Formats: sequence, C-alpha cells, structure tokens
Amino acid sequence: MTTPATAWPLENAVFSAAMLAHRLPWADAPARALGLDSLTREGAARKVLAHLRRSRSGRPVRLRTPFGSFLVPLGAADTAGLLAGAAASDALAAPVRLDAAGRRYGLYPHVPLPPDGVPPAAALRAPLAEELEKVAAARRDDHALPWEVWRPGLLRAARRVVAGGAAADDTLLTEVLLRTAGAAGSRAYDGRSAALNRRLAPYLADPDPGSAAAGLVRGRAAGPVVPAARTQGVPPSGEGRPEEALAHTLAVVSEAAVTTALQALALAAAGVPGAADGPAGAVALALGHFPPLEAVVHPVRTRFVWDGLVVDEGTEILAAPGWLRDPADATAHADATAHAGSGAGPDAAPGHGHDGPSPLCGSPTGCSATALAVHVAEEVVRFFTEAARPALLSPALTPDRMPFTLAPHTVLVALPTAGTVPRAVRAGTPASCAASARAGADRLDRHARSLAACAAQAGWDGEETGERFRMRLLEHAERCTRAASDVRAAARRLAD
Amino acid sequence: MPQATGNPTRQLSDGQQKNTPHTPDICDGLDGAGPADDGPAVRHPAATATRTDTELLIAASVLLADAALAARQAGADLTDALTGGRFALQALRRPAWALGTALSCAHALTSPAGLGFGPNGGVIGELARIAGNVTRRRPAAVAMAVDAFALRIEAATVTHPNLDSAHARRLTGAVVAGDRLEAVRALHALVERLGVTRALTTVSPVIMELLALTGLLDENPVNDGFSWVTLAGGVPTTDPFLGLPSSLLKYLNPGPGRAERVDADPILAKVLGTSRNDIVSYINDIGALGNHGLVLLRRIACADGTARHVLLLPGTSFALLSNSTPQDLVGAFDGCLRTDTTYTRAAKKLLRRAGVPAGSELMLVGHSLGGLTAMNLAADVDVASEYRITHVVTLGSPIDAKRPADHTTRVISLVNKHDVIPMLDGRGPASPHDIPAGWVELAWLDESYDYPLSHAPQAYSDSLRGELAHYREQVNASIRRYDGEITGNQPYMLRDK
Repeated sequence: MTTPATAWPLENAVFSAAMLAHRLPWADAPARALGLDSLTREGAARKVLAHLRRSRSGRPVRLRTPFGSFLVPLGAADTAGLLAGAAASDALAAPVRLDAAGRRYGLYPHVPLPPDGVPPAAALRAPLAEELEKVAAARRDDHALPWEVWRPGLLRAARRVVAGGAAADDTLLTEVLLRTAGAAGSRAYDGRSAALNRRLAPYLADPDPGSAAAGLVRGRAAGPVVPAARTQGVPPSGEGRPEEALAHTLAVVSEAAVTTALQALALAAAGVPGAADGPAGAVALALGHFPPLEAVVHPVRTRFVWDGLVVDEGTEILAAPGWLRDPADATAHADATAHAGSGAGPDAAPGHGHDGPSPLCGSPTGCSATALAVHVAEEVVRFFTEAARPALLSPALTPDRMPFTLAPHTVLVALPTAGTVPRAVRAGTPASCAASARAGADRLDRHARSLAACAAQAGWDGEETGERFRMRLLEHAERCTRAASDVRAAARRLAD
Repeated sequence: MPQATGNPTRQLSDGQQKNTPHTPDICDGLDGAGPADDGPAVRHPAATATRTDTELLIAASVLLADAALAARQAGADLTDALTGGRFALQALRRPAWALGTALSCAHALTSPAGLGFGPNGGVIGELARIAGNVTRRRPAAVAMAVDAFALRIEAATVTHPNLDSAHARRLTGAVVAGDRLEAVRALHALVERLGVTRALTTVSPVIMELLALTGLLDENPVNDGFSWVTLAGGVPTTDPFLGLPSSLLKYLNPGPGRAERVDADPILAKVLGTSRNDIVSYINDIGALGNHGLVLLRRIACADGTARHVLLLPGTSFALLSNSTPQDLVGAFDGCLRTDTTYTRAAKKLLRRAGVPAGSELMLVGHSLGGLTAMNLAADVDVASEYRITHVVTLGSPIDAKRPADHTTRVISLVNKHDVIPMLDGRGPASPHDIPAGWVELAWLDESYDYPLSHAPQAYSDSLRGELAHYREQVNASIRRYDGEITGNQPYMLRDK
C-alpha cells in the first residue's frame, strides 16, 4: 500500500496561481488577446493537470492550494474508480462544488430515483413540447432567444416534466430548490430542505401521470430504493424521502434543460463535429466539454484503500472532469465524445451511464436522474433543431478552437422556424446590426399603419380636443413612416 | 354615497370579478400586421362603433407609447451599429463603405422629419442623448411619449371631472407643453383656490403622468429613465426629479428591524375583543393599532381544525420623515420601491419570535405601507417558503407592480379611487396596464373626497359597511377558511433597531 504522491512546489504554485487569477478580473486578458491558451487561467490549470498525468503515470496526486489540499485523480477511469471505492467503503461526506476560483458551493444531495421511476420518453414528449412552444413564441425578431427568456422558460419546462403540470407555474419551487442547494452543508440546510419538502409534497400526493413524480410514486410503491447514504455518504437521516428524490431530480433536470441544452444548441449551430449530427451527439458533446459540475470536492470522513492507495480521513478528493481535458486533444475528445453520443446509443454519452460520476450531480457513483435529464436536454435540442438549423449569434465559436468554458448566459442562438433561414451573423457585427435595424424599421412601419388606423376611427371628431389628438396621431404616423424609411436605408448600407 | 366605479366589471378566468379601468382590446386584427408580439394592432373601425371616447384615448395612448418605445429602440440599434468596435474594424478595411454607412446612419438618427435626434444607448450614444437633452433637441420618441401621456391625462379627465376645471387644465396643459414656469404658476393658483389637500386630490389620478412628463421635458438627462419606465408600465427605480436610484433608500432606512411583545392598551383591547374574521373587523383593528409601530399577530383555531395566523400591518405615520419605527415616510418610500425594508425585516423577526410554526398558513392584511409590506413579505422567498401565505389583503396600497413569490397566494386589493396613495404604483385610472389575472381588485368612489381622509382606514371601513356591503361579502367569502375561534391576539411593537 502506498500513499498518494505530492505535487512539486512549482506545480502547486502554478495551479494555485491559476485559481487565484480567477479572482482578478482581466488577469489573463493579454494571453487571451494573443491567443495563448496555455497562459490563460483555465489553460494553465489544465496544463498542470495534463503535466501531472504524464509525469506521475496517471496515479492520483495531492495538490496543495490556498483553497485546500486536494487528492486529484488524473483520468476519468481513476476518478470513477477512486470515488466508487470510497463510496463502497461509505467513506465520503457530502460533496460540494468547486469553481475555478476555488469558491465552494453546496450541492443538492443525491437521492436516487427508483429503478423504474424515470417516466417513459413518450410520456414526456407532449408536455415538454407544449412548454417549448411557449418559449419559442417569445423569440425576438431575429429568432434569437435571449437568456432572460430562455432560463425561466426552460425552468418551467423542467418543473412540468418532473413535478407535473400543476408545478409549471410554481417559480417559488425553483427558487427554494436553488437556495436549498446553496445551503447544503450549512446550518440553514435543514430548514430550507423542510420548506422544499413541503413545497413538493402536494405534487407527490396527487402526481401528474406523465411526470417524474408519478414515476417516483409508482417506483416506490414497487419496492425500496438503494439508500442514499450508501451511494453518497450523506448521513442516513435524510435517506429515502420521496420529496428529496424528486427535488434532486428537479435540480438535475433543470440544470440540463437550462444549461446543457443551450450549450448543445450552440455547439450544433457552430458546426462542431458530432454536435451537428443529432441531439444526442450535441448534448453528449456539451456535457463532455462543459460539464455543469466541472469540479466537485468529496471530503473523506474515514480512511479507505483503493487500488493499493491509502486515502486518509480528512482528505478531499477533487473530481474535476471539466479540468482534466487537455487543450491539446480537445478536438479529438470532441470527436470521440460525439461518436459515443451519436453512434453507440444514448447510454454511451456522458451522464447516461449509471456507474461513473455524473456531470450533472455530485454523486460519486452515477445517477439515474441524470439519464432523465440528458433525455430532456436531447428533446429540447431536437425541438429547436428539427425545423431548421440554429445559428450562433454569440459568442464566437469555431470547431477547431473550442473554449474551455461556455457560460450559458453569454450564448445567443437564433432558432428559426420551419421555412425560414436566418443569416448566421455574429452579434455585434455590422451585419447583425443591419438585421436589428431592418426589424426596427418594420416595427416603425407597423406602428405607422396602426396610428393611421386609430386616427381614422370614429370618435375623434366630437370636439376640438379629439380632432387635435387625431392630427397628432397622423403626424406621428407620418413621422414613423419617414423614420422607418431612413432606418431601412441605413440598414441597407450596414448590410453591404 | 359610495359607489362602485363605472368601469366594467371583468370576469376573470377563475370566476372572480374585479373592477378595473377597462383596457381596450386593441390587438385584434391589424391590417397586414404580423404576429401579435411584433407590433401593435388596431381593431377595424367597423368593430369599434360602440367604443367610448375614453377607450379610444387609452387605445391611442397605448399605440403611441409602443411607437415611442420602438422609435427609441431603433435609435439605439443604429447608435450601437455606428459606435461598435466591429464597425471601427470594418472602417479600417473599407473606409469608403464606412463613410457612406456613417452618413446614412447619422442622417437616420438626426432627421427632423424622422427619428429627430435619436442617438441613445452605450457610452457614446448616451453622451449624444445628454447633449441633445441639454440643448432641447427633442427626439421623435419623446414627442410620441409626451402625446401618449397627454392622451392618458385626457382619458383620466373624462372619469375625473375635477381635472377638467380651468385651473387643473392650466396645470396639465403647462406640464404637457413643458413650460415649467407656467406649471408652477398653475400649481400655485390651484393650491390657492382649492387648498393643498384638495389640489393634491385633484391631480392625484394623473400624478405619475405629470411626474413622467416633467422628467421627460426638463433639461436633466439623468431622470428620463423614470418617464420611460412609467410609459412602458414598469416600476420606476429612480426618482422623477434627480434620477437617483431607489437603492439609495436602503441607506436612509438601514435598520435591522426588531419586534417586541407588548400588551394591548384598554382601547385596543376593547376593539380586539369584538374582532372576527371579517374584512371590516380587520380594518377596525388596524385603525385601533394606530401608526406608531404596533402590529398584531392573531392565532385562530379554524373551523376545519387547522391553526392559522393573521398578521395585521398598519400604515405610515406622517408626523415625521423618519422615526424609531418602520412606519414612517422613509419606510413608505422604501416599501414602495424595494422589498427588503426595515418593516419586512422586523415583521420576519416577529414571526420567528412568536414561534409561528413553519408551513402554517398565514394571511397578511395591511393598510397603505402595511399593504406594501404585506406584499413585500409575500414576495420574499424565505418567508413564502417558510410559511404558506394564502392571502394578502391590502387597503389603499400601491401594490400593483409587486408580485408574490408563491403563485397560489391570493391577492385582494381594496381601493378608494379618491385615495392618492394607491395611484403611486403608476397604474392610474387611465393606465393601460392591468393587474395579473387572478388578483381581485375592488375599487370604488366614496364621499371622502379629500386626502388624507380618503386614505384613512375608517373611510374604507365605512364604505364596506354601507353601500359596498357586497364587496365586504366578496372578501369575506374569499377568506372564509380563517373562520374559527381566535386563540391569541398579540400586539408587537416594531422598531427600526
């Protein structure tokens, strides 16, 4: 038996500096501007991990940073094996998410769905499509769906699919869920968790037949589930409650629908190999490249041995699938992931498997809710791509130079309706400004017609005031027409 | 004699009814218009043969407001195109194209017959807008917005005849014309003739429109945001005069809030001794609590066996701008514009201190600032998830821009239309913007014309006891689940610190 190797001071220093730099805005702006990916904050951290993987034969290494001392498995297989070994020994405490700057965030505890708790795909399709129609109806003139529309719409869809139709309007449910997850590990957690359970109880008491809640009720009636503590290391006090399983499912599905589906649409729109082949490939690629949980810290509460390696109590295992991707082989990884997603069936895609860590959930040993979440994300992508191919407006994304991260709120995708082919113009360019100006001119023209029609109505001619307002309406209608003409001429110039 | 307002009673989807200013259905069947979200629409003349003038005025104001916002957006789009970094990069590569395009955009942005002086948005656009504002170059968007507000004022004049008096006309005309000196003179004349309270009551139906017009037509470019938000039907987050953000209020009202259990004085105890689950009784209780920091938590053993709670929240004390309790003028402004206030913090501590069980059902009844605080508590995710807020009942509170966090919370708003305070949320009698479906708003005109009498709890109580007994029955039917035996009536004194 051996103890984990420790990284050299220089390796620790570079990794720590990369994390610290995330707290300094614009720290790596010169490197970004010059295209020196290895010198950016994300690039440096990944380079250190890639270097450790090569120099330490892939065995887990202990990295010391100002934000904690972590045992870092350096490959996907090692990560899965180490976490599975720890879970089998019941050695793990509740995990927390770690961001690139070293800040820790609570995660909603993993509570497994019963084996047959996941509703059939056919049952989800209709309610999901109904919600997506509403989101699609809020598209802008250029067919784009801004984040302010996308996020609430997809959160609503997730509630509908997981908790049922009655929960679709329940925005408070999502708010409470987010706050409960944020409080995980703190004293406030119990109170918030109880509030969340109260909120979910009615949806389980009278479940919508097509929802995950109904599947959960059905599944629990069929037999007991694996206790949560066995798979995750949480104290046994919270195990087995159906509200907690439903809350966890909602958390995972919401994340996939809001974040992963949008990233997948962006990848498909950018023509990244594999993503353009179909929804499954796009979602798999998004999860592989931009896992919502890019780094999770699993505290070890009791000593255990894995593959001859002794892991002591108090160690923190840093499972960071999002950071293990070497920038050098990013495209190759994209291809491999895409082929796994599109060719080998849905279970081959990241997150579909029930054995390895999920990119959507902090569970060390897989998560059945993730399969449902991935399916929902695929359905979202299918809905928006089946009519026409989306166009990526921002950010700039090229298949041969994928970014390390893709914040969903920065993504703006034009999602055309059937029969329309929007021009794929990047946001901020003169061409995209021309499109906005043309839309503005059209709006002004419509307003001119409306004002003129309003002025033509009976009712204005009863008194002097009415006639005065009628003339003002006509003047404004004429001004709108002139303004539309001017704006349209400018748009033509911009589009040249 | 109080009377329900002449506005049509609208049947809501859930079977409830409310009296609100009717918003004309103007979005049906536009000649050649695209989807409903793309632009405005007007009903064909043949379909509007029965439309009254008020409806026509409001419909026209909506159209003009939309056109103004569209013109402003068009100006912002062109400004963005002209000042963006990618345009500059293109200009380096294609100078001839850039020159032609810049001239074309500049023409569109400055044409007097088109957008007027329309640059806005971004650093350069805002600087240009400020320069235009200071030099009184009025964009088309502003001209349309001014006329939209003028139409709203005219519509309000139809339903509020006092606005049609010569003195009121002089004031509104001066404000619409942007003549501030004449407006001040007209206001002075109005006050001299009617006195302060009646003058305030006279202009109260259009107070938001007058403030928005003032902001739009003065030389201060920083306060225009107030006017545009008011035009679009949103909640202004700046003051109308200086344009200061409402977030500054938190520095004027910074107390953490405190709740102390107190005993009811004999007069209050006597009133509480006759209390029951009745809206008039709740209003009388609020009147008896006064405006010096007292609130009341009531425990009820309900007829269905459930223990429920009612929190009664009185309104503002007008004696001082700021006092040691949350019920002061600073708190009123804070409560109107923000949700996390000293009043809500103190009320949350009260609920915790009193040991109201988590998950128990709670009804919030508030007058004026108390109603605002009730809505602010209902909008607080922590409160709405800790307790189940079933009802929010407000009297004379400007709550229309606030929303409860829990979609199942029933909101009942009682409004005396002579009362100035409920208008402060921007939704006046001629406002085209409506409250959410599912809310119940019961509005009436009573004999208490002048402010502050029209705002007093007693005025509301008298109206509901008399001619408007059907409204009382309607509210009581909505809160019937709180019928039962009162097991506790505990007053608490709320303090800022």
